[in-house]
Amino acid sequence: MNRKPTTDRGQAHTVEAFIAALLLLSALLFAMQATAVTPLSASTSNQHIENQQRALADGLLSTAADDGSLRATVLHWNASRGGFQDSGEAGYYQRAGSQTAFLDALNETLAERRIAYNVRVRYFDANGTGVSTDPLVSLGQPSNNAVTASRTITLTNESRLTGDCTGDCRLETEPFYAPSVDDGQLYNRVEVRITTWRM
Amino acid sequence: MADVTDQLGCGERGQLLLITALALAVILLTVALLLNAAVYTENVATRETAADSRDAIAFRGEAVDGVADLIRTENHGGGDAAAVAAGINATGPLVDRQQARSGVVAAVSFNGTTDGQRLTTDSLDNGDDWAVVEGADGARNVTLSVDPTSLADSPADVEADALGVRFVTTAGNETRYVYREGGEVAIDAANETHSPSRQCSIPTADPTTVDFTGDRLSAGSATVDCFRGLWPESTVEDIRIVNGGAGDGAFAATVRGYDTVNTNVDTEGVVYAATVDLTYRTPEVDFETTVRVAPGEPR
Repeated sequence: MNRKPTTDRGQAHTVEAFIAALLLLSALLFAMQATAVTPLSASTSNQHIENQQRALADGLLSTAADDGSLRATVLHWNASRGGFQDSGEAGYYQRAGSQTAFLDALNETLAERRIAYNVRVRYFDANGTGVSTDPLVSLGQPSNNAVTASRTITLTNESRLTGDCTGDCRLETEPFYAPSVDDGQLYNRVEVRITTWRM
Repeated sequence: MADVTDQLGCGERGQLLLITALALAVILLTVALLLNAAVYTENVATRETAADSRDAIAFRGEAVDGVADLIRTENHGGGDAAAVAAGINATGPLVDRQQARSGVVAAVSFNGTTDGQRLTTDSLDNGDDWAVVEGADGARNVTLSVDPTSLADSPADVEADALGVRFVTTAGNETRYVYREGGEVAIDAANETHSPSRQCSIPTADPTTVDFTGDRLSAGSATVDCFRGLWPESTVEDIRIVNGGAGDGAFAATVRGYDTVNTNVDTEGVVYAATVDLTYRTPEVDFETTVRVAPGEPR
């Protein structure tokens, strides 16, 4: 059998090798982009983690609303100091703690599973149209995969602060972060919003 | 064996490399596509197909809690039905604005109130078996607050010596006895056929409160749920105090109406219940309901 001379095929071999290398690299790149590489990379599987965290936060809020600890946390205000009870200089909690039963539940359920969270309170201004938001717990800046859950509670003039107060602890007479929006017994509606994300 | 390398020759290995590379690329692409398809399929398969009604149910819960607080607050200050109505109507615009931010059309509006009477007495020692109220029509917030040191300590005969609250129901008498035993305040339940049996207990602390309609026992800052139940299953007609001398404290109940009440019992007009209309609308969920709110009513 006659063989073709091999001396003039070097260029073709080089081009083929380049094309092969390109194909391999493209395949690798595509594979890396198409699959969920880590739990934190944005992907369809990450959606499951977000759903789980939202369900967890929803459950925590519902339980706390039922047993009254959510209300007690919103009212855990030190009236004479103008900040949440036993918080730092900022007036809100900057680390996971157990100052109230609800914060303890957040600490045990989320922080110990390496899930970070922020808790904010959103309430109406005195005229009942605008809203203001204050931090209650701030553990940092949420990631792109953060989820939120919220629950609203109604406060009346007879609601009592659970922190240190200056008089009889009733909202009607004590300084509080949310103003009264009504002349009657309705005081304000406070929305508690939890934002959670994986650390 | 034939020498393949030799047969192909050095000059023809580029083709082999190319084919191998192509085969590898196809394998990797297939694996990637399969993995992605599996993740996507799982996501689609576990996605909820029905409209999510959880938010609507949570909205209902929030509204009920809010109205219950308004009723409690108003009842502290005299139980003015008009003030409850004003409070509910003042809540409406706030709910509307709050929910609108989430793309929800929501409304809370006042529908009506039911008047009731708050019955209280701090004089339990009016006999061995005396009626607080007879012919009660609906009862909620039935509580007994006692000084634990005044309760009978480890009574030999609970039915004869312990302070009790007797509910005369359509199915017979049901009595709950409260006494001290071993550093705890205990509650026993008895009826016409069953002798007293322990329902729940809590370490002694002052004040001790038994919430019959809420099935709870609290002492100091602690509270326990009496899972076996304190409130009778049948309709309660009369409420009586048994062995009134075996404890100092106060008894209170809110009723819709009654036939007679003991002269030692104070009565005060209060709001028994309020009815509100709720609306919750999103592109997927259309939820409307009328809820009757009576805080402290038996479960």
